[in-house]
Amino acid sequence: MSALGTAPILERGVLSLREEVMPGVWLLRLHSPRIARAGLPGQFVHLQCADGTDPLLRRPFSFCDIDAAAGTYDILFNVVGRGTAILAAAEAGQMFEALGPLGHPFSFPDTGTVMAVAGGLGVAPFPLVARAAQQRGLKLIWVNGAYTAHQLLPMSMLPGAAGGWLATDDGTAGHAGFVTDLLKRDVRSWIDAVSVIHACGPTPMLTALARLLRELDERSSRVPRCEVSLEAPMGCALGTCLGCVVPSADGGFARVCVEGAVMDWRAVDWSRLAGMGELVTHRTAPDRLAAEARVAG
Amino acid sequence: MAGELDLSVRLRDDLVLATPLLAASGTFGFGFEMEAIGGHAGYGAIISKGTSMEPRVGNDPPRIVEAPSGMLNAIGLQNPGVAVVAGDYAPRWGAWDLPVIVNVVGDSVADYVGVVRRLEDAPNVAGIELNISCPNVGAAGLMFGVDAQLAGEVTTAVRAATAKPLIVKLTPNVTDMVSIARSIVDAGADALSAVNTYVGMSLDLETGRPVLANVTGGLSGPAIRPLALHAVYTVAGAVPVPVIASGGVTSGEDAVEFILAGAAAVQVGTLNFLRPDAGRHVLTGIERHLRRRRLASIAELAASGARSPHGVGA
Repeated sequence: MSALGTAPILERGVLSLREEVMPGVWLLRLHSPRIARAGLPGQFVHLQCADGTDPLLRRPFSFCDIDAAAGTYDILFNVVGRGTAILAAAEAGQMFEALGPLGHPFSFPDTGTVMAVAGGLGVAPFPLVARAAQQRGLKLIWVNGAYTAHQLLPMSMLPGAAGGWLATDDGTAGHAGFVTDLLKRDVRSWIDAVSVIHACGPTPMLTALARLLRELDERSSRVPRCEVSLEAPMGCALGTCLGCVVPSADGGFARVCVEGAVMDWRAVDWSRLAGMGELVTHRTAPDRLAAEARVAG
Repeated sequence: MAGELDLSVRLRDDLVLATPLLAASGTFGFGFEMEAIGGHAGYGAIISKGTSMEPRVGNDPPRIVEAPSGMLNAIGLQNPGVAVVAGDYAPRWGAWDLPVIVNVVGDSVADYVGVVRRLEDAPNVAGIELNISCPNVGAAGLMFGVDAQLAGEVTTAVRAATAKPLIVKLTPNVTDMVSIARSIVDAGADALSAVNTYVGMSLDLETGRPVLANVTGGLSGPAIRPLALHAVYTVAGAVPVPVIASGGVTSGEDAVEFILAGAAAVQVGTLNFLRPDAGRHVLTGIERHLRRRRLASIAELAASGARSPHGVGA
């Protein structure tokens, strides 16, 4: 990963599509050509949900997909608070100002296989990841966990992906349990084939993935590069407020907005992060959320 | 209306700002990130993130949570320490037209004096803002801000250590800001900032636990503006030095209101998180207000207000 030289763009986007792609999960498409042209997989926008001062803060959303030719980008979210409730009720033609693209993107190898590991609303960045992998001629292994079957991302949203390793907590589709259990059980079937892992999901999923990689590392197995997309309640998204930090391997904290949102898994202090509990944000599976959860929505 | 507006304000004879707006400490880093996106526009000065003797990693997350028309933060004064600020950052500030005032934090009088002494040798430090009012780092730093005698003592010690313009930032979390403000002014402060954040908290309804890892946080944003306005009005009427307002400014009108209440200058804080053009946005609103009322300067604006403040006009 390298720091990007491009300054973020402030642009008002016009809502062209609002669709409930899974129960309680909304996709918004914004016509915002300058941001759409500059955005990369894993980067995010900081979007103003309403005029005025309440809700006050912008909300961060990963690019779910981008159509640079059409000048649009998509975001994917569930309703966890007032900001996302406003967005879920928005009408086509409404304007939303956003700052972006922000943060580090996922990196892609020249050849080989990308393994995409997504849990809950951590699926959000992967349609664009799949599109980028397809354009580069890379193979994609899709690994998707959710609370229940209808929360698995529809395969129609993943360009070029034929099938995937699926898991649900309640056993209604795929493996009954966690995707990380699947990855551990069948590690021999993928570990040598994968060039890079892109992961996004709830902290327990990412922590379990990091634990698996560390075990492999300690057994001197070849461990593929692994990039995780992190999140945190965010203030400025520009690196100044120091609000959106996660514990970093150097003993301090890394800013999700600047050092992330995509970071190498080795840069994160997973034991400290796990001890801080799960943040309630738009990526958490809806069934685990209180209706009035209000930390980062 | 023809003619150039005079937007300058004087905080001390050697600290005249081109505009009445200062980027508030903790909302602008050390100026670099905001420069990259054009965020310096409109400002007359930058106040840095709180700087301590040793580096501080800050509080565990979650560090911020939204509140009605506001936000609570408990960052915990994460900063790289004065050696980095003085040695690496300050030399780079020379590339800017903007004066940079360094916000100084500490746990003891010796801490504050140590940081200020180290900054004496650094280039491009236009002034010191003494932070004796951070609510998020336990008793030590805030202790000085809630006690008139201690506030006076730390100001006296720092005053002896620097000839630079010395601003002291007041906490509103006290029963009598005026006695503390007077003690600080008597000890030699050149100006006061009013106010730091108001202590607040937020609970997670599912877990019953505080949302912020620090339990409490400092409330900022438009939610506190009328409270800050009252504090500024009260303090500006009681002390013979410039008062720099701080509290939820989101527009030129908000800044004008603070100046009418007696502020010599106005800090813009949380708005920097909401829009990267915050300084320019607020300044444009001030200019529009002056033109509409056919006022030629910030000094004329101030003179039309409920309090005629000290130190306005270059």
